[in-house]
Amino acid sequence: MITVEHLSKKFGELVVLKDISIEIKTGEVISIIGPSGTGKSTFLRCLNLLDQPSGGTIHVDGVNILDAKVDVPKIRQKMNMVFQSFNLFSHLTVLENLTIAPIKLRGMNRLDAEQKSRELLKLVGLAEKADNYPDELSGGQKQRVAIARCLAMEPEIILFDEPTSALDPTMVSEVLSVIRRLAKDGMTMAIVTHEMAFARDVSNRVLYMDEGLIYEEGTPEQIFENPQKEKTRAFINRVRSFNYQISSPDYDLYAMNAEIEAFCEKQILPRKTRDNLLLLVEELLQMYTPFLQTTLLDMTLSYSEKKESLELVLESAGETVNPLDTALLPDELGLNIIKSLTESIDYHCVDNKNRLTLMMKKN
Amino acid sequence: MEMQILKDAHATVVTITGRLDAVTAPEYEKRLNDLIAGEETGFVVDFEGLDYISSAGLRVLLATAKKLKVKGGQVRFANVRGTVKEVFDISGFGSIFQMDDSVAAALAKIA
Amino acid sequence: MKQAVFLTLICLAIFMCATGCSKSENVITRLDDAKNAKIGVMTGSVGEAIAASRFPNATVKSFDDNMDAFAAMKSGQLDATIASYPAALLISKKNPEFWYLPEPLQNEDTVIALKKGDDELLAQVDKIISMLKSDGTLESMKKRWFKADSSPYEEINITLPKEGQTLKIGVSGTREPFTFIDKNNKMTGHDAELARIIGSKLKRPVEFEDMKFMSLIPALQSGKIDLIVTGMVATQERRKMVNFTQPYFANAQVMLVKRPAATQAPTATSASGADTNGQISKLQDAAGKRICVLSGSAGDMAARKHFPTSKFQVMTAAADAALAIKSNKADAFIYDKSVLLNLVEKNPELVILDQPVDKLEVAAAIKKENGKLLTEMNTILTELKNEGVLQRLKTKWVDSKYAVTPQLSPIKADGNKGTLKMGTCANLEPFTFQSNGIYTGLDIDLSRLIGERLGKKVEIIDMSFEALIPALQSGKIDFALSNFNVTEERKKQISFSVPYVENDISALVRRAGQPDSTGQKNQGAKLASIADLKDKRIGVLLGSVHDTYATAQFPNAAVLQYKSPSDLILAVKSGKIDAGIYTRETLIEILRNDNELGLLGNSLFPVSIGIGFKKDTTALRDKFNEFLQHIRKNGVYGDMVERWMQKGDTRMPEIPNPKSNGVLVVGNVSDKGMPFTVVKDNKLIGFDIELSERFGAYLGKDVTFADMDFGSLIAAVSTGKIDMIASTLMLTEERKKQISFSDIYYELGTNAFALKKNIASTEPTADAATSSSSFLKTIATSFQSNIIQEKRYLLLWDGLKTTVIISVLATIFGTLLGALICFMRMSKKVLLNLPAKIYISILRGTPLLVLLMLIFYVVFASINISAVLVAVIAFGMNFAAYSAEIFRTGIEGVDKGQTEAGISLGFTKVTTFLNIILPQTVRRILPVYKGEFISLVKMTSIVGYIAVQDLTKASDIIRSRTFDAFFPLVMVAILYFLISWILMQALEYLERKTDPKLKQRKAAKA
Repeated sequence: MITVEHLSKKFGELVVLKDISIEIKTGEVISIIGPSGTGKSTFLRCLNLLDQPSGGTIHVDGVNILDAKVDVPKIRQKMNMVFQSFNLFSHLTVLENLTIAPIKLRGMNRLDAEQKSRELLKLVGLAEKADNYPDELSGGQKQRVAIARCLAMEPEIILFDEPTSALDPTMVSEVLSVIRRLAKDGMTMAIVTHEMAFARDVSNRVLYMDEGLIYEEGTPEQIFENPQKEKTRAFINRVRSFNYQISSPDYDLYAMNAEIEAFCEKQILPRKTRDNLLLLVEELLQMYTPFLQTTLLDMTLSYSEKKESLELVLESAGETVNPLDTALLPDELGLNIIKSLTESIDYHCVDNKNRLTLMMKKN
Repeated sequence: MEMQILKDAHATVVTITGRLDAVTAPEYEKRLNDLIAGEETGFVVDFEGLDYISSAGLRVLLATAKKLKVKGGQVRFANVRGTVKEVFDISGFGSIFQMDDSVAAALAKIA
Repeated sequence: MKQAVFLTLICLAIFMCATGCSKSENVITRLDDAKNAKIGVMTGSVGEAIAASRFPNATVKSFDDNMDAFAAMKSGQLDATIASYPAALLISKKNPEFWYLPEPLQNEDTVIALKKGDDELLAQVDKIISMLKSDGTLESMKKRWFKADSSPYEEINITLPKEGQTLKIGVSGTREPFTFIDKNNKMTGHDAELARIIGSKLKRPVEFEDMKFMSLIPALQSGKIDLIVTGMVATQERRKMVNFTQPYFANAQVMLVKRPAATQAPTATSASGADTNGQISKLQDAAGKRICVLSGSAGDMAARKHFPTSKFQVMTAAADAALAIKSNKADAFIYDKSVLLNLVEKNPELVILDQPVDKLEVAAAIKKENGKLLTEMNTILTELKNEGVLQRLKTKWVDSKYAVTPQLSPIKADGNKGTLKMGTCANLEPFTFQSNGIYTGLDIDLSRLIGERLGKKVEIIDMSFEALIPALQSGKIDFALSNFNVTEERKKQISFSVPYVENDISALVRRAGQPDSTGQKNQGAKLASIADLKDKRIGVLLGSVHDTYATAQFPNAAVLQYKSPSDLILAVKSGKIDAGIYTRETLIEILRNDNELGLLGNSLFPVSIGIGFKKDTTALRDKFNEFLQHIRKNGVYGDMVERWMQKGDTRMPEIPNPKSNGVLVVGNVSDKGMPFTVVKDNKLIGFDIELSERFGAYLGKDVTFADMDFGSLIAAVSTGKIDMIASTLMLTEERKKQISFSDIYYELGTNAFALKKNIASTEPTADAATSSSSFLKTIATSFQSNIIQEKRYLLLWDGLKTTVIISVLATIFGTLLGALICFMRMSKKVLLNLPAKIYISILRGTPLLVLLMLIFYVVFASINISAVLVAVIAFGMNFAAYSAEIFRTGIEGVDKGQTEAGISLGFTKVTTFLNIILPQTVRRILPVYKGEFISLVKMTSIVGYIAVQDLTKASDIIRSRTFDAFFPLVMVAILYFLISWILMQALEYLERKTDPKLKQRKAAKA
């Protein structure tokens, strides 16, 4: 139904969307997740031309809506949007909010419009609020009215721009249940959300947007259970990482320690974990010392909030060798210590790089 | 890392504080060697103020202990606790060295 | 004679005993009477010597100073003092109960004393004195310093060198008028001036050393001083000690005595019967009374002729005569009315009897043989008379009781056909006198005009009156103008020209029923004459001749300018100002109907009025002058004057007018006042109106009147908005620069006026009557006169309509324009938003009145456009600027999300705005908008400036007729309030319609 090709958007010098290409089929429910500021809302707003794209094409039912001759308002009537801040018309009653567009834009007569609107209100569970004004409703109620208002125009697709971000947790569920219902009824929807569980539950497809691109897409299972790409995973797992590079045997242990300590503080890791981590890192680096003359060592610490696990990945180029190879070690002291602190130690040679992956023991 | 040397009646008490790691280990080794060369035979190392020890630290402890043995001296470790003890245990050093609960006890043993 | 005096003495003595006077006074009327008297003299003075030699049997008491002697005489310890003439003159001036016996005791010379041996200085000073004698300086100095009246001295400033050996002058600073100290602590006087002149001629700085008289000669001898210049008399004794110059002043020693008059000191006269037998209220009462005359004057002769039975007192100066009457020494003073007028100005307790005693002519005196000059003079005088110049001179100098000396008429450059010498005795105000160091007066004014016509320069030679005729005869002067009354006697000696002034000889008497000083306590606060205004608050019409006059003549007064006559009147009535100055004719009309106000003094000065035209267009003006001549000739003008000015007839005649030649727009002020322009029965009537209509008919044009503020008239005619100004426009030099005037069509008087209760000579009106009538009754009468009478409610109704029309149209225009400006302002394109920003800031920063006048007089200067339309445009533009910003605030106040929601629903930008943004904006801004609108309605009250007759103007017009302050203003205030209130209700209705909540609440209630 909607085909997007090489969509790009920049605000002045800032490039928000680099190159987006996607197809949304009728009846699909697409969730768009990703870190803040990566263009998710912008993408959605480009779809209904609330923001004007800088490049690329958007075809809706075969019509290139970026064409100047196109009657854009008409197109918009087919795709409605639900906003994070509800945006109900404050000078109109709830009922009037629903009826204004059908009456003015579609020429419906008042009675029909009102009847239809009341039904929709029933659908979202707010029939009795028909004559109230928006400022008399709670957040959740307002959003439900907003959804009903969209439905009043019988759109082909509804775009949801972080519909529950402004709601407090008690009201989130009432809105989500309405959206769920719509999904069940087969409405095509594109939802930008932070509610991971919900997205997983309700979508056919999940897009992970990052770096101005659709970084990764797939079924909910694929994305949530088994994210392929780093960042996706990092996002899903709410992973935070820390990267450090050591280029000579005379590296400054204490400087590195300071950074590691800072990282630990940021993740609010317990003291013990921190101490163990420092020890582990020192021991590991001891192992690497002979190699540091000739190779660069890339160390990444990743902390998964979700799993509460710390992972160390050490990568070095050069000859294929596992530094923890007992054959190369003067004694087993270091190794023993390392082993005692870690859950697993893996060595792989990936792309001509020596990769050592260690999982720290959980406290 | 800081080292305090106290000469007692029968032994020398070495109090170490801070970290004993790859950076500080060499210093420990050097000082102790100096002491060993200086006709001292009985040593008590007080670990009360030590926060951290790594394999590098362990190695120098071992090396200096060996040196002492050659000369006929002895060394006892006092107040090995906490994380440091854990590391000792992991590495099996717990069984190699003489451990005491306090400096006094260690001194008594030496005398 | 001796017997008579002796008899008088006895009578007086008896009389004095009868009243039990405790003072053992010896009244002296002749020198001989002093034989046994107590005489006071100054130690070491000539008087002392005289007393000793002539009155050996008298008791002579010596005092250090003349002043002490006089004080003793005052308190009754002395009967007489001997003093030099100047001192005696001074004393008698200041103390009217003293006078000096006319027989001098001894004549003497006044000289300057020098140290013996100081021959070089003696020679220098003598030389200077000779010079001063021959060039008349001494003569004129004498006149100035030895005045008979108490008017202030006129001192001439002499610049002295600052470097050089100082000339030390010894003086005794208590010898007025020779040497005395003025109020600025400076040494002044005849001799001080003489000393300064000497100093300047010797090119030496001058220093005065003040000391007691008897110390002077020792000081000179010791060299402490160089000269004694202090009215010192040359005596043999003194010559032994010092050297004297030639005399510079002819002096005499006289005896100063108490006046042989009635008992009491001349303080207040009571209104009781004590002096009723001296009271003169009708001319015939003067028979048998005490009459003062000036010796040899025409008044003298007239008085003796008409009242042979009266007792005459011959005075030397008019001021003395006035004094005598004031102090009840005499009952009447018969003299030239023009001089009497002056006296009355200065003495409010005196009054001139209406009926004149006689008439006299004043003419120029010419040598008998000089027939040529006589003929020339007569020709010129006849010319001047025909042109009305003489009348004007008389009005200016004689009839008007001016408080400040008028300016001499301007003349073209002095002639080059020679010089005429004119003699005059410049001590008779207002004919010939000195003021501010120059000769001025009617005679002087006339002489300049004569000189102009003859093409000759006139040189004025001042001399004593008696010297004039001899001077003419000897040819020293060519003619004389000096209030010369034509008498048979004089005709024998000289020729008289045709008379140039006819004088009334009238009688000056005490005012009847004059309350004395023990009576009303606030006498001092009342205004007695124009001069009293000098430090008060005076009101005038803004930009009028009176304005200029008051500001120039009363520099110490606070001159307040009002925009309309009714405002001026109101200010006087409400006590905001002490007096007002306005056109006399109009004031008389007003005072006819107003009990509370009265005129103060007589007409101040005449003002010529003309029609005002645009400066460069001479055609219309010439046509008018032609027209004016035409109606003067055929009697229409005279008839108009008679009807409007004299009879007060307010009917406008029918004037046939073909009205085929276009339109004549006449600018006028509709509340100027009768008899020139007023609104009656909703129509304009008046002299100026009739004149304009007749002129219109003469041209065949239809006349429309543009009613505006007086201050706007000149601007209006200069920009062509009106064709002519017919609004008692007074000719002034200033105005002549801006517009051109037609010929003069009338001369108005100018008068000051004030509340009657503040004018000294008027009885307070019986206003007790009005205060007792009920408040409601007052309202009822006010209502009747302000609204019903003359259908004045029609004026209010028309004004109301105009106000509403302008308000509503301006609002609509302003809102639409404001919306446009707002749109431009909010645009992202600089081409649009920059002009909008500029527009907003200029219009918000300009005062509305200034904007209004700019648009009317500048933008639409030569375009014929309805003033109401201009008002709508101006107010609309102003309103637009504010509206634009209000709209913008409202729009920007609506959350951006509303627009987004609208757009995403499928509304276009425009429909989103109309359906979603606008309703919310309107709701937001309506309260502020309401306020701006009501503000606009009230601001429309300034349209009077561009001649739109709105509600405020209507009230002005009514007020100008009824001079009622309270009612019309309150009425109009109520009307404005009603307009605002009704419009407010309309807007509130709109507000309710757009406020959704209100709708809902109403629905809920239903």
